[in-house]
Amino acid sequence: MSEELSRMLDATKEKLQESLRVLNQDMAREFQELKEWKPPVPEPIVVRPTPADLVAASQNFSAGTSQIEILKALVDHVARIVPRVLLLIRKGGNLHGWTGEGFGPDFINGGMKKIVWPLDRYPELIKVAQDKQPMMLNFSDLSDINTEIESFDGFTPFKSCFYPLVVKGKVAAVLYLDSGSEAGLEGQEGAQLLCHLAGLELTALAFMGKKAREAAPAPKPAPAPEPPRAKPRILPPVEPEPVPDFHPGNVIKSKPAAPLESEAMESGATLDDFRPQTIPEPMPMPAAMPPAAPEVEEDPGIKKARRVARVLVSDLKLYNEEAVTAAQSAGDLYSRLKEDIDRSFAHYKERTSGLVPDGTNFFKLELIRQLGDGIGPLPF
Amino acid sequence: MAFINYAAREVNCKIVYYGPGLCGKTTNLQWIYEKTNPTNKGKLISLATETDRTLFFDFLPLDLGSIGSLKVRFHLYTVPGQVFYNASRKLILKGIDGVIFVADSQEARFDANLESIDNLDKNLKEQGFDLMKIPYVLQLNKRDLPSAMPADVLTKELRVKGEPVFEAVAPKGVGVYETLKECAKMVLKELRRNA
Repeated sequence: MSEELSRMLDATKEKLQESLRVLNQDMAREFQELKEWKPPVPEPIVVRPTPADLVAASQNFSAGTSQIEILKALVDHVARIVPRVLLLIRKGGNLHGWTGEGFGPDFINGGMKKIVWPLDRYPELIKVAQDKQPMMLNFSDLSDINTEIESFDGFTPFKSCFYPLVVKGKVAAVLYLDSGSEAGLEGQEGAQLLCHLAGLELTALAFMGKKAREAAPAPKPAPAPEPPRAKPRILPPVEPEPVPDFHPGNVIKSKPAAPLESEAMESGATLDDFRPQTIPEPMPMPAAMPPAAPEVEEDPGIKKARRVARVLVSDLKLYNEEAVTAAQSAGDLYSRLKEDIDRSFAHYKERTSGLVPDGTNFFKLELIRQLGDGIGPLPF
Repeated sequence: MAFINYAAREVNCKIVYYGPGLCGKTTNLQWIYEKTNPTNKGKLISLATETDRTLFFDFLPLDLGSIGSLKVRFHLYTVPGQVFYNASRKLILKGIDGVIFVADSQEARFDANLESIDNLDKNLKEQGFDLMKIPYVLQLNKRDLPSAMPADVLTKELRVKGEPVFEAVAPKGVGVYETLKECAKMVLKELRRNA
């Protein structure tokens, strides 16, 4: 009896030990798996450019009559399809931060303008500049340039891309973009295409000259109906009834109109001549705002939206000269004129509702074009 | 629309100076006010709201004729020029007899001129008027500025219906009175035609 009991106890003990051994192995395996586990890479938030987006971008590039306009349009359109974008202008052997979107306001308003990356220091830049080829890498595979990128706003993106902006066969600028999160990056193909298109437009601008470009019809004439001119032209012009005591000779005759843009932005200039610190200069030159010449072939709705934006911003400048001048150095126009800018933008939205199919914010573009970097962060 | 004050034996007409912001409408009005005989003019009144401002005064020019036995008193108004003060502009256009459009000759304000003419046309329609039919004069102001566009270009682009066009430098009074006189004559002609 006692032997029988003893055998049963031994058998039970043996089974228990075997179960413990298996359990230990399972636990060890799971612990190892737990050690090796990495959080799944979140799915990227993809905003794919539609053909209409690309056409709209192309038209905006074509409508640009200066390097600034085309470059701003490039960044604006790329920012719609990737989370963060930064344009760096080549100046000699360095790349200088010029404008960007998707980064924190501290970086946009301060740190970005301090970026100076020697082209020969980082292999990524050497490759982009020499081979004129884009580069897309996991952030962890970047050279020391990743510490530079981390310093933008302390964030580590998952992927980073560098695209050359080729003008007249030379890399005149580099477009940097990244996912802005731990997500992957998509939409970069669209960004690459936009970068290529902008390079072609800048090349055309350099060869054609600004004024020739203004006078030239848009490359893709929209099959639009005759714009509905609110300005009626029903009756043919007739000579006014003479006024007996009016002496036209007393009127001071006008001089020829001033040149449309500053010498620095004349059409022959390349981006090598481009000085980032001089960008917010158009403000003191009222004559720099060209009339509607390049809009001849534009869609009537877009033409109207552009004009409303131009007039609203022009009014803002005229009625707030002191604030605009002060804001050029302080970069805080929006905070100074919040009420006026918000009211103008509300009016713009009201007047242009349904006119701009791709939702381009011409008011914002016009603020940037006319006021440069004096605006500061905008909430729209 | 002119109204008749039988007690005073006057016909009262309203002329509005229209145009984009800071084009010189008020300068026109102030120059005329300063140069008008004090016995023939009323007070210069500024109607200000929280957000915008306009000016008007009335005066009685004696040398522009009369209608029958009635003297003609002109009431001159300006409108706020900034784009978003449209409600005030509509209000001021009520009962209008003539319009002087003051264009800013500077290239930078070319779009603002076009926008303002479009706005005038639209607002007149809303008030039951037709820009093609009302007495209307175009003034090209700021002709002394170096950034002024050529007068013939502006005339071609801004002229609506073959209306008289005057070049002006409002702070110096150049072309100011001539513009008003022409518009007043057109208003009187229209009144006589409808009398």
